[in-house]
Amino acid sequence: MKEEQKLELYQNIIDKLLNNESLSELEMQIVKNDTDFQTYKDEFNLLNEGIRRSALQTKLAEVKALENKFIPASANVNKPSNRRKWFAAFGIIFLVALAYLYTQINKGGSYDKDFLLADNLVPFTDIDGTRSTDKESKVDAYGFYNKRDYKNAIIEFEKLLKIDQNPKHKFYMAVSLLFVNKFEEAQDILEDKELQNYKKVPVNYYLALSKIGTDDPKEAIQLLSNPTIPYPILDKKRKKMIRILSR
Amino acid sequence: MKTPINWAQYIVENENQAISDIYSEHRSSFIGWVKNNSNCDEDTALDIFQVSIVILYENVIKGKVTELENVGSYLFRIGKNKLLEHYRIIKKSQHQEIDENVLLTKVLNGDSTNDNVELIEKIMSAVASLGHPCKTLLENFYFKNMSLEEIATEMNYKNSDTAKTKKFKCIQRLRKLYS
Repeated sequence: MKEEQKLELYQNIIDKLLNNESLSELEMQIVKNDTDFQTYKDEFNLLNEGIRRSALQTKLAEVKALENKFIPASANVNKPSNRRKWFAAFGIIFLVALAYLYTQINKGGSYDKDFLLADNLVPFTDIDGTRSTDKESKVDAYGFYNKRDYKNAIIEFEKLLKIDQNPKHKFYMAVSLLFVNKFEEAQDILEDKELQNYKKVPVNYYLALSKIGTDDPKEAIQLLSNPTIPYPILDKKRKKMIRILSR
Repeated sequence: MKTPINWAQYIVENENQAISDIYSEHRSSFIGWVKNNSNCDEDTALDIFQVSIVILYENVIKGKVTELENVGSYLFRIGKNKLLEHYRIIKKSQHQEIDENVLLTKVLNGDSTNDNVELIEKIMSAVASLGHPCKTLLENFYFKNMSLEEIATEMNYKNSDTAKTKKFKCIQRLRKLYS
């Protein structure tokens, strides 16, 4: 028997053994008595392990590549140019909101709670100065938040809060809830004692907005009148809202 | 995201999408869990998460797991074991300045005291240099346990006999490459 034919026979036997297939008499004899077969089998076992690990290494590289989906989201959010865009958007929304409010009031109507909520809430990751998306575990929640996908942001914040009860996450969870008009749920979070003591974000401003959402303008005025800490960027808005609500 | 009843079946049928789904769904909670239950930093937690996914994948492909309803719970169980292994390896190494890549390979490969480690690494680089279609063919048959008929269909061979002949030639090429 030629060398190649012999090796092919050995390989067939090994494949059958791997797949738990039955062997012929001749093959059984080879397995039991052929020392060349044993040498070939030992060598093949090493080859097989090398193939396995190579496949796993390839798969690990593919899995690691999935991480790239997460990195750009965090990288983009903190770019100064993005911050400027947010502030510009904030300004435009504010002016449009004021114009709309002005026309509504002159018509003799009262404030439009949905309008107030929809147009006064903006991403706040920039205002409080934190770089919340630096940590990758937060990318999902803040990524959706900044894309204004609040329904998914809420889902991700819920997961995040199971891991990390950071008051900042609670705050953005509450703001996301406001965006989807879940005012009472937002209030529950914003009235949380820990969040009330958290001074890095304008908790009471948003609590006031949630009070407007639940038809409680008096409470809203009170909250807006007594800001726990001043937020210059919100101060004019706050005062104008008090005037509008007081009418 | 699709939520299959049997994740094992989903992985076998559509491995790339299934793994991507598992990755997105469990990444945050897994890393948070590792960080809360160990003194690992974010990068190490991420490494353990990624290795755990690969192990889950292998267990499914090798048929060790055929029914998998709660993929998250299974992934966390693997992660727990990998975390323990991680600590054992650090303890064995007796110093903290361990190369994370070396650590990762050890965690993935299991017992680091294997005498054949160097030889297997040689074989791995030989497998890599085989290229397509030999590498794919051998991995499909010996790692994914695909039948010769399935391989013939997937790799556009005339029939299973052609696939068998090609496979044998690829093994002989691999033998020559590493020896």
